[in-house]
Amino acid sequence: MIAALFAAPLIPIFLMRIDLPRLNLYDRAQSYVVHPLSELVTNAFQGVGHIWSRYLYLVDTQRNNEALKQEIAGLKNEILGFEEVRIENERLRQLTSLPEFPKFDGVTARIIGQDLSSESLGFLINAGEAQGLKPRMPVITADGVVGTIERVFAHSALFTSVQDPAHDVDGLSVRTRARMIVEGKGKPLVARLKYLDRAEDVRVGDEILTSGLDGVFPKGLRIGLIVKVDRPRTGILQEALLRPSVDLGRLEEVVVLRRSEEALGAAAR
Amino acid sequence: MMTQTQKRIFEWPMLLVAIWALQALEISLLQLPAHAGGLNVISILSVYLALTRSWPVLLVLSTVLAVMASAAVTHSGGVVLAAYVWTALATKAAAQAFALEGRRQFTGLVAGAFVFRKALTFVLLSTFDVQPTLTGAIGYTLAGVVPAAIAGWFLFPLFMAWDAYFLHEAEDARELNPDRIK
Repeated sequence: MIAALFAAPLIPIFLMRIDLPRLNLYDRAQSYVVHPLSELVTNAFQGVGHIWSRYLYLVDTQRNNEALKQEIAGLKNEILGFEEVRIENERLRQLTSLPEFPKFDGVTARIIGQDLSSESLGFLINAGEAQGLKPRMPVITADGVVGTIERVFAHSALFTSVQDPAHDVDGLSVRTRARMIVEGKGKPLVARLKYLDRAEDVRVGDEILTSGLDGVFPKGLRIGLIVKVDRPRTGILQEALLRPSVDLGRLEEVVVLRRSEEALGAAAR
Repeated sequence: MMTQTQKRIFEWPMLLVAIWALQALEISLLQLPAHAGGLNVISILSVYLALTRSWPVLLVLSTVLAVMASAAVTHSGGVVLAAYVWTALATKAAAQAFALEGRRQFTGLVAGAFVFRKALTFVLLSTFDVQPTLTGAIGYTLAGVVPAAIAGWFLFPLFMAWDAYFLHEAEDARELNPDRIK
């Protein structure tokens, strides 16, 4: 009997490996109660924090500072976008046809909570199926890539961050156009680069953008900066660490990108 | 005051509501530093159940609690679920082997169960799912074990009070044997 008791928990592990989306009936029921409560608590807590920080402590200075920071972050992305366009134009002069980029529209959502497990660096947002969200949609901020939607409920969703070990994003170096996979390391401050050819010229300080080839993220979004390169004496690959451009500790609002046809479908509903 | 029958009917819905409220607080506020996850009151409750319930009842209750815990994680829900149940069973085995009971032993068991669950989750994730880093797993375990033990110390009397209120052995006996009312 004891053996049977200890064997029973194997069942969910094997069920997890089969894609059975209807298994999460309880999860959906729980999302109707727990997630609105979390949002309520987060709003109340942030409200108190904002009253203290905005109205009692350096009212105008902080507001101006925040506005300027947002403007700088937006301009940085814009400049990088122009740089991307310039480099792309140079390449395209030699080609006859322009590649087609899928069009996206954004849904702004607030962070209302964090994953309860330290094994996954996930966040809960206050937008879900009602806003047209689906799994594998990209999540970004003005600073760059944040993560990918993992589980969607009626009015909330959980997304994995770019630092989560289960998260992969296809990237390329701005300087050399070297392609690589950026995978989370399970720590808030770093991600690692996988399948990076040893022959590629990769240096500390290189900016990595999304390549747009993973079918999730549009091309040209900032992922982060390379902070360490390890080129072993043998082998065909090299390893590198990347500091993501988005600081998870300061995350408050994100934008979820929907493909335009999905946006049109949601609007029609 | 509720009768014993009413208590029996209301205990589980009230427990469900209490856990949901605690989870909402954990998701939004009671997070450990450095993204080490929530305090996981459910894991502390599982240790209490391991001390006070029989093997079959523990399996059922710990599975229900594990389902609730796994609903609040972004991915690898199956691994989280299995780790919770196995930890509850292993905790009971340890408690029986060393005849553990009382608040101090409970606190130690909470810390031990926390470390065991983290180690088990790491092994299961590495085997069946994503590849977490060992240093990250050790860091998060160290960051969480002391708050979990402290929470265990404070929650133990609360769990006892809950049991005392809902089980109410004296009143239960009176209801079952009307003669004892006299």
